[in-house]
Amino acid sequence: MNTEFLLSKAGELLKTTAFGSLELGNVIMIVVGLIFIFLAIAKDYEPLLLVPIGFGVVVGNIPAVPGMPLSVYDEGSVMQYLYFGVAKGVYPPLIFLGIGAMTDFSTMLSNPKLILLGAAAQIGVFLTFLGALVLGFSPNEAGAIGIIGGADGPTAIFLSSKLAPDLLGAIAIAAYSYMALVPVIQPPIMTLLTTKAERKIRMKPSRQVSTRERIIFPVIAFLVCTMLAPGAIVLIGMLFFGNLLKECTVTDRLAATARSGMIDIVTILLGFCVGASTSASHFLTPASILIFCLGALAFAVATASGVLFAKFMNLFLTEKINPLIGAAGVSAVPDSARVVQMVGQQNDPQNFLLMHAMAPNVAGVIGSAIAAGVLWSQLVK
Amino acid sequence: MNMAMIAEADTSRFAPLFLETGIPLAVMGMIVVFLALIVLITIISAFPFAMGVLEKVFPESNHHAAKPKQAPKPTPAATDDGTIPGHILAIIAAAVAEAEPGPVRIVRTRQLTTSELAWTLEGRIRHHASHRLQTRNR
Repeated sequence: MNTEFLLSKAGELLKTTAFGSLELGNVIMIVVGLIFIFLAIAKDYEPLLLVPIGFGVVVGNIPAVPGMPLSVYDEGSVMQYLYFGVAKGVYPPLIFLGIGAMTDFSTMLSNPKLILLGAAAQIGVFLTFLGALVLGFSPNEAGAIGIIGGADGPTAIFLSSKLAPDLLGAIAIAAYSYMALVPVIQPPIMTLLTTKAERKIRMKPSRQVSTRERIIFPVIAFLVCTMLAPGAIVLIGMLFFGNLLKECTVTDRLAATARSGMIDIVTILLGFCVGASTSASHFLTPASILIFCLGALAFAVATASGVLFAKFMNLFLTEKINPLIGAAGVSAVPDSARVVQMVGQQNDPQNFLLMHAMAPNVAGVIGSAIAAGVLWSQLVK
Repeated sequence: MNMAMIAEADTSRFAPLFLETGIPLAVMGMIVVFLALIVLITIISAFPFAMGVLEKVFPESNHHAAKPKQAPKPTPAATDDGTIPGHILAIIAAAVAEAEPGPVRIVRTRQLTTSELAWTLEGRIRHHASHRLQTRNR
């Protein structure tokens, strides 16, 4: 009698623990989350993103006890309130505000023709969009997947929250994973598409940009971009607002907050919530695998497009540009610019491409935000 | 029959490309991205001229100019005879020892020129790192 009683109580106790409903998928995802944390801490792979995302993945895959609203998908749960900022696209514009307050557009202003490389890299977005359509995704889903090629995590999250909320977790994880893998993905493509002589091209130092130019630029750029692509108003608006705070010299406190405390808080919430949204039942699907494959394709095509477009520009330029900097057009600030510097110095240790690469790099941020705006405005109908 | 079905399946697979939300949208998207950035390039290219005109009409006031940072009291980086003083060499040696994995010997140091100093901090760091260093055999 006592044994039966104890066994029944033990059974009840098991039901109140997470072990009772733990599935293989949850275990796999918890291992994935732990790998993210390991890569971030041990290998320094995008630690500011992978630690919150990795821990979020672990949290999101602890099975919920029936009747207790715990996960981001449970109505009324605390996690759902935190996830609100992701689901409704609140966090990405705030991240863009911080990015704007950090970004120095001087190199772009001093050599404006390099902006074209930021536009060329967006070919990856639209080719992947077409690829996703062929693979059977709906136009909205294809648009959200294609933007992975923009190599801009907040943009990818913003667009997928608007167009394909069901795929948000997979798209966000794919976008951030490939951003962390920029130093692995880009160099072989850059080397394959350029000759050694091209990789050794040295570029002249850029001109000095006045304070007045740097103040006027965000206002004019905002007006031009949003007049042509109103869908980009949220991301571009916050980006250039942040940049104006930085450059106008009279709002130093606001700019300092935007680029430090505020962006850190939003990054923590964004990373953690995106991770927590990858519960096995929502994430471990054939669609997620396809999204990861298409994401890799998007990154590769975007990199190749930038490099090839730089070579194309060289056909018309008297002062040649180093085609390696075309790879920085994929955004992923500042990792892709660092990769350009690294590959350039492997071929010529005295060649400093970093600041030149920052021009297409920041142009890529603008380009991917415009691409997202176009896709959103055309597909949301 | 089977071939016809496969062909039909292939056709239906590519059918979304030819809808309004397929290739036409992709082409339009690329055009908008390029157009926006080309307009931006045009405007930015006119900045030096426009700033020149603007400067004549509204000279840049100190209020909007970036405040010059309080420069630390300059320490002479080189002695009168052009050689690098001992304390600077000690700093360079400490930095090299920190950056390099094995024991190293500094073979040569030289004063940077003005144009090199104007280049970015990253460039300067790389430049120092690029000095010819020889790793001693343990």
